[in-house]
Amino acid sequence: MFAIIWKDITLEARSRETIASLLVFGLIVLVVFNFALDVTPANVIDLAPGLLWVAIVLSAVTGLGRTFLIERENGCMNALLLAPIERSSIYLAKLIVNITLLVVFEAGLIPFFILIYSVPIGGNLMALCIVVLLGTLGLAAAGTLFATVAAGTRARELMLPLIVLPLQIPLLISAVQATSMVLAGHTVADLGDWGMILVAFDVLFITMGWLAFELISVD
Amino acid sequence: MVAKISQLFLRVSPYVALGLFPVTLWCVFFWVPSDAFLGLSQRIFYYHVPGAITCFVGFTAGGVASGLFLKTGNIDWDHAAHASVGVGLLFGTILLVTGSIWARTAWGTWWTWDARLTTFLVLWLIFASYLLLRTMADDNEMMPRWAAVLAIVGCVNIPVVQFATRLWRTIHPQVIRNPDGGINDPAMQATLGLCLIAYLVMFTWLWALRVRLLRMHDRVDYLLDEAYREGSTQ
Amino acid sequence: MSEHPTNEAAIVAENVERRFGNFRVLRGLNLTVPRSNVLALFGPNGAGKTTFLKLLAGLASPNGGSAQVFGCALPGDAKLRRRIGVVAHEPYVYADLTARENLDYYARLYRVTRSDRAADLIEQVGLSGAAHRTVRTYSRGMLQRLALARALLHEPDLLLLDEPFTGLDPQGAQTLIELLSAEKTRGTTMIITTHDFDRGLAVADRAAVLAGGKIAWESEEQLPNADEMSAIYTTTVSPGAN
Repeated sequence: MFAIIWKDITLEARSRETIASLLVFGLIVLVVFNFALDVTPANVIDLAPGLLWVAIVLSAVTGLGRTFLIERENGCMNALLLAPIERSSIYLAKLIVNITLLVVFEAGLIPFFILIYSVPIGGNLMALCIVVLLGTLGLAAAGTLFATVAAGTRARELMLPLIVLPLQIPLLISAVQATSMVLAGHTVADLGDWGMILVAFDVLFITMGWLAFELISVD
Repeated sequence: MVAKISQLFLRVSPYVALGLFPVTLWCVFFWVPSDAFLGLSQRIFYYHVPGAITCFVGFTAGGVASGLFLKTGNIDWDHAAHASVGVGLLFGTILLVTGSIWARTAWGTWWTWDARLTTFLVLWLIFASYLLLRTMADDNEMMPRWAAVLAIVGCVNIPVVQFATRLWRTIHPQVIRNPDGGINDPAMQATLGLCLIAYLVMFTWLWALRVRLLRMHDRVDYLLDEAYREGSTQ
Repeated sequence: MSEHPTNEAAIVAENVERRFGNFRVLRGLNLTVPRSNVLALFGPNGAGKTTFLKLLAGLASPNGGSAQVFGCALPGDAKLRRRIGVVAHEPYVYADLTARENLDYYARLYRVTRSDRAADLIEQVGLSGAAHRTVRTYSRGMLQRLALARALLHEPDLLLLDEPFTGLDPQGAQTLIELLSAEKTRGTTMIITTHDFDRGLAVADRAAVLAGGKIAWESEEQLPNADEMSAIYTTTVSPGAN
């Protein structure tokens, strides 16, 4: 399993394609929405959490398919399936790679976000990072599972958002609420129900992905 | 087993449905007493609520059938799931559209983001993506399995979506209260029940038609493949 | 290599069926391949050769009948996959890694412990000169050789090759035959699907024709030569023969 992770990260470190496109896309979304929603100092506090998550989610669903596209290029997905490893390990490996990519992406996006929207972050950066991480886990779990599926259809890049976004709505709701609470100064302990949904969602989707991956890859 | 059930439905359901619906019309418009608050427009619920329930039945049946397909590998269950979700989605679409029109006349707005509507819309989106996935099949032999997994994931998500949207809605002020109150009058309950049965029978009819269509589709593909193979020497 | 009793057949397929939707690609396929044998499998496109190999490799399950590889029922588990190597249409290598890195990766994946195994193989397949270049720069012949190295890395007991001679120039094909012969002397069981009668029969102990989803013809004691094979093939796959 670690072999796969190492391999993917090496490939990515060499080409840096995915990270670059994720970052650029995320930044574009943030900037475009500034104009689309006419963000002013008055409404920025209300809109900020939503803006951040829209940028993250949209970038993620377009970028998540890439880890599987690498495999398809020379039929390497078959090689992975031929290897003497559990298929669910492949899922976990890809999941970890995707999470890593997204975390790196967010590490670049969040500072930009805080700067251009003058988001008053206070001392709550840690809490924000935790919330973002929780949301990312669920997003990556569903995305990794369905990336294989999407790659096998005609509509490739379009299919993954179509499948994953509706499923992510509860996550999105919770993440935005939690983010807005964190920005208002609450700590992670105060998140209560929203935090619970986030964690439950993550657990649910990672488990489902782990169980279902074999079904999705082999007949 | 799916084949037998669908054939049974095809034979029986049309008549039962066609028989029941006039009865429901009479019940809804002539027999049942009016609601104290809403008057005439409340009667829509006798058609609206059963429609929603039928839609849910369609989605969950689709999930169950998908699970059975994954377990047995019998393609009939995949047809059952596909048809179930498809008809369920049809009912759902009609529901959303008619509900929206009704909301406009009753409340003055086409849509509100209250818990129930939002949950329903999200679920509609999930299963719409299921159908979209199937149309993009492209002859890929893995498609039934993929669709089955999506259906199950979608169904598992139902309670999560409900919980999250309800929580979300208790935070924001309700714009318009959904006037669903308690239905205490036995006549109202009976009418509702009757309409529900009528809808479910309708569902089975459409479902059976769809299953038959999917089977025929498969059979045509099979025959074409056979013919191609016989005809080619290399 | 493993020390198993030599009387246990490598592959036993009985009435194997495999469907796509409602269409049966393999319909009642019966085949036995003894250990350390090399089978050349011929057949028209779409007859099911690739599907059969996929089944043997554990990438798909039979819908009917039964099949066993080394005594394990298909589709088998990770342990069985460890004993199988596959060379397919696609090379299964990462274009942006070098040959050496690709092999190191697969060595880790297959838990190959001998540290010089990858280097050995690169030399055996004649890629030492290009080992430091990324695979994207390789020719078709080089890719095939790398794919073979990849497949042999974990010293499989069973080697499955799907049309390995396609797209190779005569020299490349010759190199491949030499490599396969070397593998044969080590006792590896092999199945080679191909349209090339000459080359397929050059390495084989037995031959068979897969047509109409079944084994339509199997060689007896003596292997035919290329011309005889061609004649047998034409008669076997003509419409109405099955």
